[in-house]
Amino acid sequence: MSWNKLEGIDFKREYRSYIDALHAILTAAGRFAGTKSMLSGMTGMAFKFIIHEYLSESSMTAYGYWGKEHGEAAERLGWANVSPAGYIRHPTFPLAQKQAERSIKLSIDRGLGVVFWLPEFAVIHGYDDEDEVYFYRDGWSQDEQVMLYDNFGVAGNGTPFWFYQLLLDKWDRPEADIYRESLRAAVSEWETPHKTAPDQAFASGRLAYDYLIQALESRRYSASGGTYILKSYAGIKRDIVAYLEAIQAELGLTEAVLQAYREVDAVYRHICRFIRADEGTAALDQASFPALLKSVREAKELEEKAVHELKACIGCEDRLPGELDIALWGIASPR
Amino acid sequence: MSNMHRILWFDQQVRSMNYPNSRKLAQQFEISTRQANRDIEYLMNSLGAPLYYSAKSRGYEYEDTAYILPSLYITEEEKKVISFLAYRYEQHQYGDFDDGVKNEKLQKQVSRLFRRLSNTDSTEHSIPSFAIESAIVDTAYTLRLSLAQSRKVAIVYNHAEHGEIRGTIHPYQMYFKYYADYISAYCEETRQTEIYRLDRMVGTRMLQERFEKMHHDALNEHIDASQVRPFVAVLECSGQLNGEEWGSYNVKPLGNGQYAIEFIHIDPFIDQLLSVRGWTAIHKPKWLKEKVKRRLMQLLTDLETQ
Repeated sequence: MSWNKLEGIDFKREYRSYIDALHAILTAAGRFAGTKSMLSGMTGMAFKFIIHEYLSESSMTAYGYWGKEHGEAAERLGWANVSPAGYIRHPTFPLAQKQAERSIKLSIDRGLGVVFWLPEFAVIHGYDDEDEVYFYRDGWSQDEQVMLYDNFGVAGNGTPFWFYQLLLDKWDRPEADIYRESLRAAVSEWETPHKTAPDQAFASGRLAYDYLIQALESRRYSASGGTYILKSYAGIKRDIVAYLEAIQAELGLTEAVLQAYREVDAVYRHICRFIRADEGTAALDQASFPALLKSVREAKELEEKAVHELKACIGCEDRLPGELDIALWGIASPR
Repeated sequence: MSNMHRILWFDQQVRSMNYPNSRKLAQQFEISTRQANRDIEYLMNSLGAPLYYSAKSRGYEYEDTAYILPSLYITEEEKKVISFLAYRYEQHQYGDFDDGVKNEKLQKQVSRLFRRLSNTDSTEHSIPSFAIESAIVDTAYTLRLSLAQSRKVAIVYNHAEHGEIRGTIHPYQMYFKYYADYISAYCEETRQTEIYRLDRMVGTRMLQERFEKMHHDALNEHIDASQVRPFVAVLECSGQLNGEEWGSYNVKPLGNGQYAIEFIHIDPFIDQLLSVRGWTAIHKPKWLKEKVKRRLMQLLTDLETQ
C-alpha cells in the first residue's frame, strides 16, 4: 500500500513514555485490554527506578540499553519483537533509516503502530509514500504530527541515538508467570546499581535514592529535571500499587507487600507537595528542602522494606520456564 | 559570466513588455528550462531585479521600471562595498553626518562609485559617508549573503569576556547602533539568540546548511538542522510571491505561478500561510492541505461558539 493510517491510537503522555506508547498501540490493535498500570507492571517497566547524578530529565528513559530493556519488556508480555537501536553518527545510519521505513510500513499494514524515540517515546501510526512521510503522535498534541522518511531519527532529536520497536506476534503465556517474572525483575532492578555501565552518571534502584539525596543535599541539580522526575515517579509508584492490588489474589501476595508499597506511594504524594507550580513552570520549594530530604530518605527506607517483603513473598530462587536469562545471553548493546 | 548574454536578452525582453518566461528563454538559447529558471533566479537574487510574474501575461515584468542592470565592470570588492553601503544607508539615520566633512577622500570614493553606476557626472549629491573598514565590509557581506539565503555561518569571535570563541550561528538581523555594527543570531552552541559586534568577528565562513528562522518564543528550541531535511510545499499564487513576507523562507519559483517553499516547523508555517495573501492553492503535500483545512475549521467552530 502507498498510504495507510491506523485509527484509534489514543496516545497520551503520563509517567513513562514507553508504556504510554505501548499501551496506545496494543489497545488500538485490540491486543491488550488492561490499564496502563497493569501494562507497566506486567512488563516490569514500573519497577525501573533510575536517577541521574544531577537529576537530568533523561533519568526517565535511561533505564538501560533500549534494545534489551524494551525487548525484554515486550517479551515478558509474550510479544516476539524486534527492537533496533543505534547511534545517528554511525555511517550505516542512512541504511538503518531505509530498513526502518520498510519495517514500519509493514507493521502498520499489519495493524500495529510502532514505538520510536522522538524523544521521548512516541507512536508512528501511519505513512504516505507520495509525500514520503510518517504520521505520528507525540503524546502531547491532539493533532497528529508529520515526519519525512528521511528525517526518521533526526527531526527534533537532540540525542545521538535512534530506536524503534516492531511487535511481531504474540504467544500466550500464563498470566501468573508474567506477574511472577515482573516481580522478580522488580527485585533485580532494586539491587542493580547501574543499568548503563560503565557509565555511572545514572544509578538504579537502591543506589538511585543515594543519587537523589546527594543531588538535593548539594543543591546541584537540574530544576526542571528534578520536578519532572519526582512527579513521574510519584505516578509510577501509584501504578505499582494498582498493579499489585490487581494481581494480589492470583499470586497470593501478602498484605505486608501491599502495605509497604502503599506507604511508598503515600510518601511520594507528600513529596509532590514540595513541587511548586510557578507561572507555568514547576520548581522544588527551596524553603521546604529539609522536609523534602526527610521524605526522600523515608521513601528509600520504605521501598527497601517493600522489596524485602516482596522477595520473601515470591521467592527468587526458582526460575520460571521461559524466563529470560541475562547471564546466558549477555547484554545487547545499541549497534 | 557565461550567462550574461541570456540575462541581457531577458532584460531587454522585459523592458520591451514581451513578458518573457523560463520557457521562452530556454527556447531562445536552446537550454533546459531548469537552466533558464536558474538564470531568472540569478537576475532576481544576485542582480536585484524587481521581477514580477504576471499570470495574466504568463511572463515577467519589472515592478520598478527604473531598474537597470548593474554595470558588468563592477569588481567583487566593489560589489561588497556597495552591499555594505546599501545596508549602512538603510540605517543612515544613526550615522554621523559631520564625519563626512572629515572624510573627503571617502566621499570622493563613494561619489566616483555612484557616478559610474548612474552614468552621471553630478557632484551635487549630499550623501553621508561612513568609515569603511575592509574587514567589516567582508564580514558584513558574508553575513548579508547568509541572511538572504538562510545559511548558517561558522564564526570565530573575539568575545569581551571569554576571549576567542568558535561557533555556528543562524543570522537573523543586522543593524547599526551607537556607531557599531551588530548582528543578532541564534547560536547553536549556547542555544540562544546572541548579539555579536561585527568588528569583533575574527573570521566568518558561510556554510552550505540552511536554517529556518524560528518564531521568537521558539528560538531556544534546539534542532540539528544540518541533518534535517525540510518539507517542501508547492503553492500556487495569483501573482508574484511577496519576497518581504516570505523573507525567512527558502522560496523557489517553479514557473506557471507555482512556488516551492522549504520549511521545517509545521505550525509556524501554517501560521505564515494564514497570515499572508497571494497564494490560491496548496498543491503539495496533501497532509499540509488537510492541516490547514482543519485549522480553518477549528477557527470557524471557535467563532461560532463565541
